[in-house]
Order: sequence, then structure tokens, then C-alpha cells
Amino acid sequence: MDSVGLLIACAKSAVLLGLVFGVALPYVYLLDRRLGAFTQGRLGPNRVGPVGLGQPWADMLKLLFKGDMNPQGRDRFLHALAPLVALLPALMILAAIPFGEGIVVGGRHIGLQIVDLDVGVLYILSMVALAGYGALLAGWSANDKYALLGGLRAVGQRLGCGLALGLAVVGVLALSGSARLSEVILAQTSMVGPLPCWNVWRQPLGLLVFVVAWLVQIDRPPFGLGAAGSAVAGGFLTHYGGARRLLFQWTEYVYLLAGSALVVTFYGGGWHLPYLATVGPGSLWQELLKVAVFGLKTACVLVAALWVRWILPRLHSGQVGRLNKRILLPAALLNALGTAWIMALVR
Amino acid sequence: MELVLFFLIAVLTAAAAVGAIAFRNPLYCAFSLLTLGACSALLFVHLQAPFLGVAQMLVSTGVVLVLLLSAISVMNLRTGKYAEPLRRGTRSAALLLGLVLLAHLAWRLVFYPVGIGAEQKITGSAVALGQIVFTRFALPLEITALVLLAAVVALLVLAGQEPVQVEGE
Repeated sequence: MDSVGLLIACAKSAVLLGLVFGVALPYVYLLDRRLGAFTQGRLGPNRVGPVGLGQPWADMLKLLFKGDMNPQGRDRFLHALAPLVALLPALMILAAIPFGEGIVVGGRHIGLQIVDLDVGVLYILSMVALAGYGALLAGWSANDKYALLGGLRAVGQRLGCGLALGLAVVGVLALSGSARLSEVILAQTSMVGPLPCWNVWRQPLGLLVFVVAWLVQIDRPPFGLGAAGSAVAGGFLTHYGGARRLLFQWTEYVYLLAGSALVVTFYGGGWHLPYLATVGPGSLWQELLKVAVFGLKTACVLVAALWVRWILPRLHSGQVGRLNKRILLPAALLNALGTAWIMALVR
Repeated sequence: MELVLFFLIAVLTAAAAVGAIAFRNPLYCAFSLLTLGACSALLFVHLQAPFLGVAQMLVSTGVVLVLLLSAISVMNLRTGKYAEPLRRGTRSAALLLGLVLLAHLAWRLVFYPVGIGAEQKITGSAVALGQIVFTRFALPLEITALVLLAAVVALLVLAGQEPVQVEGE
């Protein structure tokens, strides 16, 4: 990478981080709370700012100024480090996601993703595999049995569904013939009659397994065992308050955002929209339309993913284990093998 | 710039490797091992072999996570006594083995200097990795698998030594 390329990558990272922390995270948090309130017949936060739009900022300020919890006998270094260990891999996933096709400025093609790796899918899986460390370190370092139990439960469920998550993507890899995320989207841009050839039609089982496995992987209710309130008293989050608690909260929402964007990339055609956002370099407005299409699709998936928490009761640890072992893994295997057989037959 | 980056990662790799064996707390050792895996992955990426880097990351994250779980399950990490002191014979054997490995490394470095010749060039693709692993390195791979199997059996034996007594039972 030349120095100009490095500068562009830094600028793209700064813009992405600004958008994530300044816009996406606060309003995903608000959306989550409003969805919960709607589902339960409540009003939800609506007092700070117009229709409650200032609520995330008020809550963030409150958490930043709250006192931190320092349990006796904790491992100071790991207790302080755990929230960062949890958040960083989540943010690093965003670096590989293509939010648009790219623009040409001064003869230089600038892709709308920070880095377009030719092993993008594997990179994402390796980053997701790091998700358990934050919970485990947080649980162990607090010197509390409930926190430790929560951390162990969180890691256990993540180890259990990791294989299903990886196998669910195998079908997408086989169909696109590439692990580069931009090429995964390009492989979905052809048309079959009036319908776009998105993987959602070709990999419905893979999509279902991916979404459920992702929710299990990020410890999100109804599969959240790590911080399950009634079972382990807050789990690995028991001894976190203030800014560090905020980091854990952000981690959950960043994973939800990244997961929704990945569902759109793997199964929803990415930025592609028939007749409107098509392949090939266009004007700046066309490229912005592609980004808007990607954002809109991601928002739809995100709302569905957030809503799952409010409409399903929480599973207990045995049920999550059985879900991983008896449903997700066999379904993912079936999907991968089925895709391979059909591809072999078609050829 | 590239050279600076390389030395930065190399120093971090060496520090993580030392940490993995020097820390007394097994959790810190495991965390150092994870850092070592991540740094090795970065080195692979730096050497234009991103596939190897990502594969290294995938493997090391999974391995270290299981190692951490095992450490927490088997050892009482809060007591500060993580292991019995080594016996004199064991210590001497470890020292001897370490010296043999060091001598071997020195011999390799002196008589087979590392360089980017045609022979050492690895494209870093899945195909190249598969061909090397299942042909030239097939035996080391199998031996590693055997050692890991032995480790799993040892862990089961260690974990099953003292059954937990629940009050009232």
C-alpha cells in the first residue's frame, strides 16, 4: 500500500468510527428500547429531546460519570482490559464490510470498505472467534462466582455455535467462488427473470442458521447465557458499571450492526438493487444510492434481530446447548453438503 | 516504514513468547499465547500471506480459548499456588532439552541462512498450504495431533482427580 492509500484507509477508518459511535450506536440503543416498549405496550423513552432522540446521549453521559465498580480481590489489569478485549474484535469486523461499490476520485478507485481482503470471510470468522475472550476475562477477573459462571456460560455457548456459524457460510463461499466480500456481493448481482439472484433465495437454510448462530455467538437474548439476570445475577457484567459497562453495551450493539451488515452482504445482495443500484462505476449520486440501499437493508435486518429479544422467552443453558448440537450444526452441515451436491449436479 | 512495522511486530511477538512461559498465573500465560498467535498472524499478513495469517488467527483463538477454560477448570487460580515446584530431575531434563533445541536452532541459522529464495517462497494460498501440510509436513502434523490427544487425555485425568464435594451430600 502506498502512502496515499494508507492516508485514504486512515480517513475511511475515521469516518466509519465517527458514524458508528456518533450515529449508529446511540440510535440502535434507542431503537432497541423503543421496540421493547412497543412490544410490551409501554411508551418507552420519549422525554429527552424531540420524541426521545436525546435519550441515548443522556444515558451515555450518565454512565460516563457514574462511579466504577471495584470488587475486592479482583485482578486489576484484566478487569480493566476485558471491556476493550470485547469491543475491539467487534469493531474490526466492520473494517471488512463493503458498504458500497466504490467511487473514482482523481482517477483512483476508492472502495467503500476499509480493507478488501481476499480472505475476508475467514477474517470475519477469526474476529468472531475472539468474541468470547472479553466475557471470560471479565468473569474471571472480578473474583466472584456468579461473574465466573456467567463468563464460562458465555464462552461455552460461543464455542458450541462457532462451527455452525462457519459451516453456514460455506454455501455462500461455494456459490460465489471467492472469500472476498466485494466479490460475494458481485456474485449476487445477476438476474433470473425479474428476480435478483440474491443468496436469500438460494441459501434460505444457511441464512437461518447464520442468523441464529450469530445471535448465540454474540450472547444476545433470547440466547444470552452469559449475563442472564435470573440465573447468574448479571453474569460477567455483575461487577461492571460506568464507562466500562458502556463499552460492553456498545460491544453488543456493534456485533448486532456487523451481523446485520453481514447478513445483507452474504444473503441480501449487499448494495445491489435491481434497475436502481446496478454493477459498474456510476455518478457520485448513484454510488451514494448504493450506500443508502445497503444501509436500508441493514436497518431492516437489524430491526428484526433486535425484535427477537423482545418476542421470545430466554432459553436456558441446556436448551442453547441442544439448539447448537441437534439443530444448528446438523442444519449447517446439511446446507453445506446440499449446496455442494446441487452444484456438482448442475455442472 | 515496512521495516519499522516488521520490527515492531517482531519485538511484540518475542515479548509475548517470553510472557507465555514467564508469567506465574496461567491465565496471563494463555493471554500471552493469544497475543503470540495474533502477532504471528500479523507477520504472515506482512509477508503477503493473508490466508496463512487468518488461518493462524482462527486456530490460535480457538486453542487458547479452550486452554483458558481448561486452566480455570483444573486449577484454583486464586490461591496463588499454580503448580508444585519442579523436581530436580525434571528441571535438569527440561534444561537439557532446551539446550538441545537452542543448539539445533543455532545450527539451522548458521548453516541454512534464512532468505527469500525460490524454495522458501510460499504464496500463502489455501492450495499451497494444503500441499505443504499434507506432503512435506505430514509427519509433524500427525505427531502434533498425537501430542494434542495426549494433552486432552491428561487434562481429563487431572480434572477428574478430585471430585467436587457438595455440602450436604
